[in-house]
Amino acid sequence: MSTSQSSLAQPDATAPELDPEQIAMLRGLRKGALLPQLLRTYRDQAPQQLSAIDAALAAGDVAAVGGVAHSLKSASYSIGAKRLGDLCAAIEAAARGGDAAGVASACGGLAAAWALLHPEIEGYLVP
Amino acid sequence: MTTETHNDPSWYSVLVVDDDDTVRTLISGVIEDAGYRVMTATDGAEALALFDAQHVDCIVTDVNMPNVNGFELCRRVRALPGGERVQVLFLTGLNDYESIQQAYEAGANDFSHKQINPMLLLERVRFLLRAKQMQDDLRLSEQRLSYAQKLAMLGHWERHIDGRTIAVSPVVRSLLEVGDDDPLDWETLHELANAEDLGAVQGAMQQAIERHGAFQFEHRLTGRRGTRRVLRHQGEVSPPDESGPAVIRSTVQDVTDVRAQEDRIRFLAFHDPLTALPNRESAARMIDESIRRAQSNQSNVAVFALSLDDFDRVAGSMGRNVGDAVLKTVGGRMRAQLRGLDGVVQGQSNTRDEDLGCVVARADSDTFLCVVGNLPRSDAALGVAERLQRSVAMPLAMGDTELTLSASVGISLYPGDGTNSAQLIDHAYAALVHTRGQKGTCQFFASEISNRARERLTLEAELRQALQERQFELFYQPRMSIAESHLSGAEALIRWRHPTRGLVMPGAFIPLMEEVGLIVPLGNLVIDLVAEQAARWRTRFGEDFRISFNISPVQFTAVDLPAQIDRAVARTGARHNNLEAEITESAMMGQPDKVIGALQAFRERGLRLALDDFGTGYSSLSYLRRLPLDVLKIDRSFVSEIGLSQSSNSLIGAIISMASALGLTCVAEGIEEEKQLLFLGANRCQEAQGYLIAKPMPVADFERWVPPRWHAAELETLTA
Repeated sequence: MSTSQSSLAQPDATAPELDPEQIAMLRGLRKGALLPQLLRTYRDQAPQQLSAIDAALAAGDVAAVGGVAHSLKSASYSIGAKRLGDLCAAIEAAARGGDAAGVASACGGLAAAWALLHPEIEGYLVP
Repeated sequence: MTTETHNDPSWYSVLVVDDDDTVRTLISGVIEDAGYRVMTATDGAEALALFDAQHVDCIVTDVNMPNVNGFELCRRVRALPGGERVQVLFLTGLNDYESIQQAYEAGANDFSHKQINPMLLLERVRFLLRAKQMQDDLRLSEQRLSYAQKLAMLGHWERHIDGRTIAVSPVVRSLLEVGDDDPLDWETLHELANAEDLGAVQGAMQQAIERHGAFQFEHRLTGRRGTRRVLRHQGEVSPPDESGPAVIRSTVQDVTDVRAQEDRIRFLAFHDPLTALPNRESAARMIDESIRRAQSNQSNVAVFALSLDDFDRVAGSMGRNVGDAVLKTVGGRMRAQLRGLDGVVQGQSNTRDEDLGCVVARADSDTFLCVVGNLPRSDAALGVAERLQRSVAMPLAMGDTELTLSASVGISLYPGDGTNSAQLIDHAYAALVHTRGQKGTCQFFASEISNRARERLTLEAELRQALQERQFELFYQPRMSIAESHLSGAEALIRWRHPTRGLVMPGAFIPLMEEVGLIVPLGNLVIDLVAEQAARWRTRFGEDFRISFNISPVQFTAVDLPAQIDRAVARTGARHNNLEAEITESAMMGQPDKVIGALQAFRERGLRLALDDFGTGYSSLSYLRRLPLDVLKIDRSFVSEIGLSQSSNSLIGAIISMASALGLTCVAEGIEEEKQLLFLGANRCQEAQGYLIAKPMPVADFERWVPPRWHAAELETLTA
């Protein structure tokens, strides 16, 4: 698994949001049943976490932002959503360092990343 | 419940704990996909509830969770029953060293990064479950072993070769009766073990240590609370290696009951239950043991078969209880009697029966077998038998009545009557059978000790009487001059005219008379008779007529033979030159100087001396030359060979030539055939004696036999 933190700001429209290798690995588990279950879980959970980040950011609670970002990071990496995962990792790191500006800046990319990711997820869920 | 390591993953339950739905779904999905049973919980509190209700082998948990976090979950699981055996795997953030450290402190078995490839996480889980299975198997087998050891009262201990401390299992503590918290080291074992057994223990251990081999030993032990036990140690010494010095490992088993049973069985196998005396088998063992000892110290072993006379009648009329009491009392008395055999046997009286070589055993209903070893002389056995008989014959108080019993004894002796216990027992019984009908008697098995001893006793008494009553008489066998064909003399031969058995030949009584010293009065009698006869025949057959008579070697040492002969000659009027003493070669062996002195005295008196049975003993030429001999008597065995082979003829010829060269008169004995006489004459043998001429005869017959022409008196009459 790559741990690269590059290409945070400039999304590449041509590259897939979900890591094909991770998708292939997940597809092989539980006779293909795990992947859709995992993607549905993520799809239902992620918007709530994104809203929670927005709310905490508005309230100026940097630590709460970091906590939610930590969770979303793990979930994102779990399905191979690397861009969103890396973004959450940056938020978490800035939050841990008490870097409010950094947190705010990184959070700015969340909506766009989710906009790119969500259709891809839905694409896998179409029967 | 199976105990083998199983490959079926569905045996194992994995609890996945994570508050993040996606992560939890992924991890549980991956683990479930591998076939394990999976349970999930969203936080620590939920996980604890599940753990309480379900069997869980492995917990995969997130660190940060609401309610109870991962660290707290781990700590609380570890504190629950069985919780120490669960494998706990923490999912931590990358490089989150603080969490990793905290996880281990809380009791984690392993950790994994959350971002790790789920397949690698699965491998971690597999590894943890395998490790758990091995631990479970080991623990189970230890439990089983400990249970088995507990059942068998089997403990074990382990000790470094140069260390005093030992590691022991609980069973060892309970066997030694040493409390769980009390110190227990190698010295404790020494202190509690029976001192007498320590030598053997140390010997066995030392040998095992030197050879790095197996060992086993037993010892008696008195526990701290006073219980006596027999412990059996069985183990081995493993040689030193890179991990440390040599180690002694051993099991310990309480074999007290086993040994007690064996002792009881052994006692029953070798003892008579009624009298508690050794039984026949055990007597046999002790006989063989005594024989081994007798072989080394040249002593004798006596076996006595002792039977109570009339025991059946006593037991029959007074009841079995009385019979049993008699056997017990008599057995005890004999045992006491044998233990008191000071001076008879070589040994200390305060030693054990077996060591003393004295044993009383009950062999059959009324028969005892007694064994006495270390007897310096075989005839001492008779004294022992009499003691045994006396101890039986002492009155027995049985209730109101008093019994007096007697015992018959058969005796066999090592080495004479047998070389093993079976033979000696058989022969003692055989001797006992010979006493039947004669209550209170004693019989040796061996004829030379029993029958012959009695016969000899009788014979000796008869011979003493015979001497007194002059039952002995002399027969005379003529000796003739071969060249001149005339009577030259006679050999006097002793005969015993027994009042009931008739004429007894000398071979039947001379050896005993020599042995008991009666040969001396007999010899004196012979000298008197010969002198009387010589005096009479000197006038009847001529002045040169000689009577030869045999002298026993005993006579040379016992009496002054020349003086004895002088007295006889003086009393009868015979002349010394009418007498010829015959001695054998063997008679002169060992005491030649003494013999030669007497022989010289004979010669000075003109008494002639003949060497009898020449050729049958050992005579060197130089020895013959030293003796003042006049006559050489060629043994009958040479004479009987005449004409049978050239070499026999040559040998006789050589003997005659030798005698001639030494200036000796040669007399051939045992002539039965004409050709022998002719051969001897042709070879210049001077005289002949044998059946061909005449048998030994009483005086009257002899005188009737002698042809008239040989009667000197008549010849003188004729010539006159």
